[in-house]
Amino acid sequence: MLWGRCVRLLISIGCNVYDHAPALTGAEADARRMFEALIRSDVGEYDPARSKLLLSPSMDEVRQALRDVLFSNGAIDTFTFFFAGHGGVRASSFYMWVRDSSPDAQSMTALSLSDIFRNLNEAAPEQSNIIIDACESGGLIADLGVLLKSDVRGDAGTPIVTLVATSAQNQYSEETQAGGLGTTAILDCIEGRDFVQDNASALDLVEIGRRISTRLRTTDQSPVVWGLNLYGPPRFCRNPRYGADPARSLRAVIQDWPSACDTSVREHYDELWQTYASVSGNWNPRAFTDVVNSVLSPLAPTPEVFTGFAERFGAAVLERAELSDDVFRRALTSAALTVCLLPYLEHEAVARATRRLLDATGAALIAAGSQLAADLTTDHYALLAKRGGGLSDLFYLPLHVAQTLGWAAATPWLFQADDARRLEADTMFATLLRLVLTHYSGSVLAISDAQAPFWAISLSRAADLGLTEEANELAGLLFHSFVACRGQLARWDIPPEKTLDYLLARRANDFSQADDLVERPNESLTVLMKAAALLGLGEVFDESLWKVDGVSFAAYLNADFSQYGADMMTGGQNLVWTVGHDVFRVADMVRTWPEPSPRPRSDLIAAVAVLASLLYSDRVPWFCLDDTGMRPTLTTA
Amino acid sequence: MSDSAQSSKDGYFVDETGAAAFNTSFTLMLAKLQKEVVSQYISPSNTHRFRHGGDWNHPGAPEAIGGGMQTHSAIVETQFQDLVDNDLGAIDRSAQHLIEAMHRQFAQMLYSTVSAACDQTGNTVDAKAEGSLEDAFMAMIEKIQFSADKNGKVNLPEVHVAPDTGARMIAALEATSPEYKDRLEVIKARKIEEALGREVERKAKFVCYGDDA
Repeated sequence: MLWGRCVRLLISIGCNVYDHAPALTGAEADARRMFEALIRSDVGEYDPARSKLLLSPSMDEVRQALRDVLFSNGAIDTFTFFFAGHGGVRASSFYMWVRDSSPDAQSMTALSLSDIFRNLNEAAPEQSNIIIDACESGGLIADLGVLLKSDVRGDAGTPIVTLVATSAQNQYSEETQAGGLGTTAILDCIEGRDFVQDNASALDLVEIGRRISTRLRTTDQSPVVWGLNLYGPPRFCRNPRYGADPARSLRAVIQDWPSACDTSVREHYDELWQTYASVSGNWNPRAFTDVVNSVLSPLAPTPEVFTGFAERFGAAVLERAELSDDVFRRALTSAALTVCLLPYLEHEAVARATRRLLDATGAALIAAGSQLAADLTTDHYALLAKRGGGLSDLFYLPLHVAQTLGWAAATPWLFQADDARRLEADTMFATLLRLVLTHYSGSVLAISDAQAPFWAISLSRAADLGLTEEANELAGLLFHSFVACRGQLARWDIPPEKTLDYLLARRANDFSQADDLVERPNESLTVLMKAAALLGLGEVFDESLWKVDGVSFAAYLNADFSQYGADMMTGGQNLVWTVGHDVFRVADMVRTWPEPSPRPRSDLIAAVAVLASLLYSDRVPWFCLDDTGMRPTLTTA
Repeated sequence: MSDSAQSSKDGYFVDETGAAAFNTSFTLMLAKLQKEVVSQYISPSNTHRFRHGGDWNHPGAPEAIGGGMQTHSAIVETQFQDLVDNDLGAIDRSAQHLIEAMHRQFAQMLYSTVSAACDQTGNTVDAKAEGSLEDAFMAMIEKIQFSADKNGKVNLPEVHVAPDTGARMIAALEATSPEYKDRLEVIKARKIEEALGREVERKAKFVCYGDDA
């Protein structure tokens, strides 16, 4: 329920039958339509039991209804009064005619707007809405003086009154077979057939009044809209168009942008929209973070504004990510946004926001990973592309296997030590690892150097969790496939249109025509050697090292982890070894690995660096393979 | 999350760009193989390509055979398990299957078009009626009009036959008498001369025809 336990009451009057005036045909139908619409829980949520529908009532019946509704229900949050019938201005006052109204004694026999105002002043509903679909109803202006008494208006918290009259003082209100034009226009707004706005979950009568003024301009009616003492959120009815615009979230972020930062947004307005739209389609993490960084960096001097934008933009893009076909898109987008904050973690506000984003990323990864685990249990082929895949999966499926394990293994890094979700994440990783080894062992292979960070994180976590058998099998499959192709892995950034050429070369085990598609030196062998040392598989791997004689492998080490999200890091060391030249056994590489190697200063930085390595694939978080105590501690149920 | 934001998610690490690029490369590879197949039958310089749908029409040469677009299709199936097992042989198998199917359909179209054109003009030879393969061959050569290119080079006709018929025909021609071979050479020489003559007549239709070398 939008309004929870708020008291929302309605009086809807339609008068077709008159003792002293010509009969009308559609007024009762209008009142009924309005009543039935507004009591619906998905439209107005007015209380159907205590609201009143009066059809061609007498003056006494109207007075009784006003007394019952306004003075017998305690404090009222929202009160709406609707009238359709004859109306007219007499002696500077607007009167609504009911069945026994007499043209000669209107002040005694017709319903004066001033009377209603006096009732409202006394009952004081928090918000009152008055809609009059009658001839000359714009004449209600004459009665506003009653409302404008200085002793009841102007103070904070005093009642709000909105009035819509569907024709101006000198106009007649028209009817069609469907009902009064004004009422129909209002109902179209209420029930969503006409668009008012889509950025709030509720509509107020002023917005609707403005909309129907525009719409009825082409007719002879000019609705009049008055709002007094307006404050607070809209409360007249639900907004059926809320959420209809998938770009609503970003629009709200941009419109509410702090004025001090206008320049930053203006300069990147188009890119922001494009990158926002990409979140639900073909999404590229580097392109995404480039745009976000270009907007964020000018805000860095004001960390509160900086984090405010990051989190609000984050909320918008995460909502957008729900439109993607990719179960992991929400998690990946959240991760990318988190990595954007990495250079600014020295600010406490940014660090706090980063922690919140890590939590959100972790939660999204648990949700996605759990869904994948459930899918794989019922459909062993769930990881295959659903659309447009086919033979391309010969290249991309091994990548997706690596991504599955890498992201799942990274999840525990994102939660603090005392967070129970760390255990949940570890359980999910263990489940996925076993499922992958059971159903996808043929695709657990080293095919591209872009897989290196995923293998590093998953092998280290499997080892930490004591999943020795699984870790050994994983490392064994990878090393076997590496040796089988003589270490000729596709370069991490192989153009997609060249993946077929690479596969054909790999199929023939002849890379002479595909030299530029192979990564040299690769980081995958470095990962496998360090994992072998961690798992005690060094001597097993040594047996086959001669088969990759001449293959060079590398590691990039950089102590400045604030750069870990940058396109190109600078100031680090490019370490390189060659099998058969300076490495003949796994131990040779381990012995020459620089110690102490760079480690992040905090768990927070380590977690974000892990995310960066998975997003960009051309950097390996080597600290996760070092036995430094940097890795997430184990939690038990 | 609002209701409108809900969608049916069914993919993991969706990368449609990568898959699309791979599929484009695969299609280009097939197109290259298909061109090689077609070039076995028709010189690439004598191949026209359609820009839009519709039959070829020769308003200046109404007697020319038209013809239009025909759809050739082939379906290839890849087993999920082959993908999961990373069986790279699936690429070769798929390509081979598709190319063989396209080759078959192309050859069928080519021969049926030629056959229809010959039937239409009556330019056919009945081997049985001729009495022997070598006589049928002679009659065939007699009925074929040789053509010369604009450089004055006469292209001799190609003979396409089924493999077993081809073997029999070669054997029969090799066993022919010297008189038969002489007669064949006389016909060829006459046909070549006629082709050159037609080419001279064709060039004479220009206002002038020079050497642009």
